[in-house]
Amino acid sequence: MKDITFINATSLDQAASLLGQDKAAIFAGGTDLMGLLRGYVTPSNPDVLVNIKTIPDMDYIKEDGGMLKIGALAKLADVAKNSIVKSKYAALAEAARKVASPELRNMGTIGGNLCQQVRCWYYRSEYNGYNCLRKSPSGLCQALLGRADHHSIFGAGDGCIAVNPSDVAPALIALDAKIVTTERTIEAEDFFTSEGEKTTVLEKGEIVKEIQVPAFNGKSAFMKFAERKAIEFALVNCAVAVKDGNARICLNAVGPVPRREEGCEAEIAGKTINAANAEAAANKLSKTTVVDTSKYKIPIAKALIKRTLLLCA
Amino acid sequence: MAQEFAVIGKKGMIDNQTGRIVTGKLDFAADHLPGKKLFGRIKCSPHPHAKILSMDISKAQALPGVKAIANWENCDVLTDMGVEAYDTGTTLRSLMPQEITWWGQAVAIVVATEPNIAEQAIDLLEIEYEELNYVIDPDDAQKSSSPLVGCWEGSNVRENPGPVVRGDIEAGKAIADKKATLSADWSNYFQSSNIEPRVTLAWWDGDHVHVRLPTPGAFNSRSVIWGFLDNEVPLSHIHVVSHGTGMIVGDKINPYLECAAAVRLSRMLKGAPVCMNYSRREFFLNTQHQHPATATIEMGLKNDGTITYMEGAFYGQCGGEGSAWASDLKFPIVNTIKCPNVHIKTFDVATNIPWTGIYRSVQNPPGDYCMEVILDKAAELVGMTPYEFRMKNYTWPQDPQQDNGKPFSSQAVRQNLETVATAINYSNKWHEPDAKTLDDGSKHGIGIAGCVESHSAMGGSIGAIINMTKDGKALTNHGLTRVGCGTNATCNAIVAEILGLQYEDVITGDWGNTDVASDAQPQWGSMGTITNGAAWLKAAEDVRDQLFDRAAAALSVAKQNLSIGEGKVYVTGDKATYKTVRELCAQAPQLIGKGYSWAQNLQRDLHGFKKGTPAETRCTCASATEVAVDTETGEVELLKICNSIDCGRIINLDGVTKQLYAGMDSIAAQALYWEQIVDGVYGGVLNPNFLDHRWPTSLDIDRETVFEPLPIETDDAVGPLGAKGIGEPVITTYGSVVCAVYNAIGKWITPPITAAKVLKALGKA
Repeated sequence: MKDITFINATSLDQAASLLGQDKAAIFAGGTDLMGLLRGYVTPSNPDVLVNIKTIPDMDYIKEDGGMLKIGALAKLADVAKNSIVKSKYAALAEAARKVASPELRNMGTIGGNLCQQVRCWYYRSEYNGYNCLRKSPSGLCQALLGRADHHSIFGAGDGCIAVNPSDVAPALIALDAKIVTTERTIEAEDFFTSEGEKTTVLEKGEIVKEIQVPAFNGKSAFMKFAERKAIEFALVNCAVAVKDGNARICLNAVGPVPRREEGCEAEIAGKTINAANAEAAANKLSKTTVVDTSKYKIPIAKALIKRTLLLCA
Repeated sequence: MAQEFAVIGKKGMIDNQTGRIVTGKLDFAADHLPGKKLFGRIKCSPHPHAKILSMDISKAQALPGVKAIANWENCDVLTDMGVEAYDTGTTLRSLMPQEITWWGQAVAIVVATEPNIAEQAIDLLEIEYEELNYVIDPDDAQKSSSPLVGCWEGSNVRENPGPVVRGDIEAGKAIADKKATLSADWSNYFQSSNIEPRVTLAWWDGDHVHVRLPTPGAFNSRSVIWGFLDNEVPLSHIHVVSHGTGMIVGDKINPYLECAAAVRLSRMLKGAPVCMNYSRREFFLNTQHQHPATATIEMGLKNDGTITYMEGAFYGQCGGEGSAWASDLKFPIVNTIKCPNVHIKTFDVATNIPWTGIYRSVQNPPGDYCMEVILDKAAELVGMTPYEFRMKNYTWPQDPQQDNGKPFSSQAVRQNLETVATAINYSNKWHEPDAKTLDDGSKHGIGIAGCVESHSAMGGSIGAIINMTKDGKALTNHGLTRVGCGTNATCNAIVAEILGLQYEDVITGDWGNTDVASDAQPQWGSMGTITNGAAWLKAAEDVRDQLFDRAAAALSVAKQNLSIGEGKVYVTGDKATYKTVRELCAQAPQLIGKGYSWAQNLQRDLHGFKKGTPAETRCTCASATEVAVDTETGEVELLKICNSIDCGRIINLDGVTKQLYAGMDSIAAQALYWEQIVDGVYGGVLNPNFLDHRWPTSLDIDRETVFEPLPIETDDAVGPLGAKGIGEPVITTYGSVVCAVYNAIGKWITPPITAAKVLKALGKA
C-alpha cells in the first residue's frame, strides 16, 4: 500500500471540504476501504484519507421525535445489541448481527455498511487484472462471460452484474428508513445506484450523517444465506417488515442495488402468513435475468422470502 | 496392550515451548531483524500462458528505495555507484522462466527498503508478452486438439511408471456375475490455506548464509538451499533455523522461489538481509495446490458382492508446472480392496493453472474419494449396503501386501470401519438414497468410507543425541521442526519412559536448527513419530545402558539385575536399593546417548513372518458421516463425523486427539468449502484470498458436537514401542461426506459440495 496522508477531521464541514478535493477518500471503520487500498483495487489510490471517526456525536442510537435515529458512525455491533433496535426493529438488529464477524462488527459502522463497494472478484482483482468495467471506461464486465456465481440474477446495472453486498440495506428499506446526508435526506430505497464505480447516490464530498427509521410496531425479520455462516457476504439476503397486513419485502445481493419485491408483497397483502401463502408470495419473485453460474440463487431467493415471511407470522 | 507404561499414553504432555506460542513470543522467520532488512515482492503474470518478450524496468529502478530487480535474464542491483548487473542464475531462471504456464506465476522480483515501495515498483514494470493459447479444463487438455500447456513436449498427458498389474483380468471377467464401468468425476482443486504464507529471511556473513524460514524439514531445506547455490557453498556454511511455523501441511517441505530469491539476492546485495514474505495473493498463486483427481474402473462382481477384477485408470491434474503427483492415487484401492486381478494405471494431466504438489496427505484424499464413490456405486449394483460391500472386500490384518508380499506391521481397516459404523449407529440409520426426510424438511444422508493409505512409513535413517545434565535431566535438541502436531513432545515421552523419568524431566533445548541438532528427515508423510521416535528410543536406551553401568558399580550388582523407574535405577525386586538418576548423572564425564532409527523391518514375529522381515508400515482409517441437505437452498449441514484411525501404540494422547480434530476440520473443509476457482474464459485465479477460499467457521461446524475422534490402539510391529504416525490418515472423511450427500439426495456431487452444485443436481438451477 502506498503512503497516504491521514487527516483526523473535527467537523462534518471540514470533512466535506477535504473530501471535495481530488484523490481524497473517507475513512470510518475502514473494514472495506483498507482491503481496497491494500489490494490496489481502485484505479488510482487516494493520496488523502479523511478520518471522520474523530467527529464527535455521530455514533448515537436513540429514539427521537417518534423515530429511531442512528448516527452514521454507530458500530454495527452496537446496532445489533441495542435493546430498542432488537425489540422494535428486529430485522435491522439481525441484519447488523449477521455482518462479518464480531471483530469486524466492532470496527465497521452502519454508514460504512451502506456505502461499501461490490465484492465482484473481477473488480477486486489486484492491479485491475481483468480490465474491469467499473474501473475503466474501456473495460468489460468480465463476469458476464466468466464466473458469475456471486452475481446478479436481475441483470446488469450500467453494464455491470456485480451485486450490492450490504446486509443492513434491505432491513432499512423494508423498514422504510431515510438516509440523512450533509446535503439532503434520501429514501433508503433511492440511496443505492450502480452508476459507474458508485454504489450510492452520494456526490463527491457528501457524507452520510444519520439513518432515520420511522416508528414501527409490526413484525420484522432478516435472513441471510451465504457460503458460510460468518465472515461472509450474502449470496442472498432478505428483510421483511409486516404491519397492518402489508409486507415490505426487500432482497439484496441479487441485483446491482437492493430491490423491493413488490409482486411478492402484493401476493401476501391482507393474507394470513402461513407456509402456503408465504410460498405463493415467494413464487411471485420478479422475472430474473441470469447467467448460468448464478441461476442457483433463484431458488435460494424464493426460499428466503418464504422463510423470512414466516418469521413475521 | 498388556505392557504397562509410566509416561506413554498419558494425557498432559505439554510442549515446553507452548507458553511462548500462546503468548506470541515464539519467533517466526519474518520477525527477525526488525528495521534492518529489505523486502521482496513478486510481479505475477496476468496471463495463463505467455512468453515474455521484453521487460522495461527503468521506471521501477527510478523509484527511491528500490535495491534490486530480478527477472528471467537479469538481476540489476542498485548501488550508490549506479547499477551492477548480475546473471539471474540457473535457479531463479528456472523458477521465473521466460515462458509462463499459469496465471499469477512469478515473472519478476523487486527488493526494496519497504514492502510498499516494492509493491509500487512492481506496478511500474512494463512487460511485453506474447500471449499463447492455454487450457484450463483437464478433460479438454487431454484432447488432441488442445493447446499444449507448455510443460511437456507434444502432449498434456503423461502416464506414470509403475502401474499395478496383478493376476489375470480375463480370469476375473470369467467368474464375474456382473461387470460395470464405474467412475468418479474430478475432485476439487484447492490450496492448503496456511495461516503463515511462505517466507524466507536470509543474510550473508562472509561466505556463510543464515536462513530463517518455516518448514517441516530444516535439514532438507538446507540441502535444497545448497542446490540453489549450485552446491558451491559448503553445507556447514548454510545455517537454517525454523522455529515458529504458522501452519504447515506438507507444502513448505521444499523451499521454493521465496527462499532462492532471498538467499541469492542477499548475496548480490553484499549480504544485506532480504525478507521474502509472500502476500496472501502471492502465496495462493505461487504455492502448490492439492491436485484434482478422477478415476474410471471397470469392475467384475459376483452376486455375493465379491470383486473379481479391477481394470482402469486414475488421472491427476498437475497444473502448469508439470509435477508428477498422480502415481499414488491408486494406493487406497489397490491396498484396501482384496482382489486377485488388477490392472490400474495413473496419468498426470497438465493444465494452465497454478501448480500442484506436495500437500497434506497428497494423493490419498482424492484417490480415496474416487475409490469410495466407485465402491458405493458397486454396492448399489449388487444390492448391498456400502458398509456390507466394503466389509466383503476389505483386506484382513494378516494379509500381506498383495503385490510385494510384505506383511503389514499393523493393518486395522476393518476394525476402523466397524468402529465408526457402531459409533454412528449405521445399521439403524442407513437407508436407500433419497429416502429419508427429517422433521425440518431436509434430507438425511449417511456415508461410510475406509482406507489403507500410504502414510506412516519408516523414513530414512536419522540420528538423535541426548545430553544428560548433572541434575539428572535429559536435554534433547530436535532436528525436527515444530509444525503443531507434537512430535517432539512424543519423542520426549519415549525418552522419559525409557529413562524412568517424568515427562517434564526431558527438556527440548532447540529444534529445527541445523547447527545444533542431528539430521532429521522432514516432518512429512506421518513419518515423524515412527522414524524420530525410533532414533530417540535408541538414544535413550544408550543412556540407560550407561546409567546401569554406573549403578552396577555403585551398588555392586550385576547390570542385568537392574531396573529403572521413578527417577531411580534400582535392584530388580528390591526398590529400596537404588541410585537416583540424578546421582548417577552428577558423576563425570557427562552422559551422552546417541541413537539411530532402524530399517522398516518387523521388530517381532508377526502373522508367520519372522522378526527382521521387511514390512509395509502404513496407516488405516475410516469415517462415517451424517448430513442434512436443505433441498430448497442446497445447504449441506454436517450432523456427525466419526473418524477412526489405527494409531499403533498411542504415545501422546492429547497429540493424537488434537490431530484427529484438526484433520477432520481440514478434510471437512476440503469436502464442503475449499476451492481455488479458476476462470475458464480468462484463465485467472478468482479467489486468491481467505475470504473466498474459505475455512468453515465455528458457526458452520460445531466441532465439539459434530466430530467424534475414535483412535484405536494397536501394536505396530515396526514402530518404536509399537507407535506409528497419524498426521494424515483422516482422509476418509472427504469421501464419506460425498457418499453421505449421495445417500441424502440420490445425486453424486463432486467436492466441494456447494449450494450451487446441490441445486443444480436437483434440477433447480
